[in-house]
Amino acid sequence: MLDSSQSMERFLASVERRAFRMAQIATNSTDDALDIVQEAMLNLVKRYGAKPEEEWKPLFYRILVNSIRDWYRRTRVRNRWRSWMQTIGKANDAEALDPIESFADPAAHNPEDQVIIGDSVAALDSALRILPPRQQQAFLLRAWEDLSVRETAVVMRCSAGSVKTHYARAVRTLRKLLEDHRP
Amino acid sequence: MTQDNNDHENVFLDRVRRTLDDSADNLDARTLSQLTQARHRALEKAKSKPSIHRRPFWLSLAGLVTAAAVVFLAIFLTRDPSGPQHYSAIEDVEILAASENPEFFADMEFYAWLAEEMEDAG
Repeated sequence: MLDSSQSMERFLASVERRAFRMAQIATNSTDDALDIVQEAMLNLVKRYGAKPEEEWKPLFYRILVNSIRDWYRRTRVRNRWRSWMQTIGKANDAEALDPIESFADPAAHNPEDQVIIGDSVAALDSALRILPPRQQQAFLLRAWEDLSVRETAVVMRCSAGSVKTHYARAVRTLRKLLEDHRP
Repeated sequence: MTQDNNDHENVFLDRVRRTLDDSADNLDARTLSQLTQARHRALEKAKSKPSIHRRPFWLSLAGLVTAAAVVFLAIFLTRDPSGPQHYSAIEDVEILAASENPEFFADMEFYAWLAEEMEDAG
């Protein structure tokens, strides 16, 4: 029989790749995704290591989703600050900032183009990144991690109804973006 | 949702799952190594610093009792029975624990004056 640290190691090894991909899709950054997964692993072991093994999966994803949400908050604040500093800098140079310049060009990651060049992973990642964060999370947890509606609701701290709505909207958008444009 | 649409959706979802599985199975060696290191670091930390949940109940209770004793001892030793301020620490605790808005306590002098005025008038 495995002791608890062996069971935990086996569990973490079984979820780390998918968790990393979830975080990478959310952040579009390998380094940030690695930091998020490491933080989620540490918190699970430290805070919930003594919990029964069958509870680890929803707990781990709950921590992961929280860490991703914190990353969104930090990034929003950082971007606002950076945008404000740029505005000040440009105002000093007597140049007005075009607010449209602050936003990413959606055409830069057009999933349609990427499907055409046959890069299905990149196309899927781009399509998933177009989704609002809650829809992205509901989709990945339900469709990929195979969590039930109830488990997903616990992980995302929302109602089962919200999970169903987020998931249905995500599927509709992804089908429109990816299926309709298959070569 | 029609059966046909349902079938289409299932085919689409299977394709998405396969693509995601492939992406997770084909992570580069550097990322895999970093994930393994992160996992080992998490497990090492757990070994070096036992979780609070694993601490025996009596140890947590003893810690709480000690902390409470230190706080009460500090209040008792630092109070000055000669002046009106000897209730300040206890008053602070009462204010923190009270349900009233903190502004209410900031305006205490005003309420005391109002009560005196009403008594005088009555």
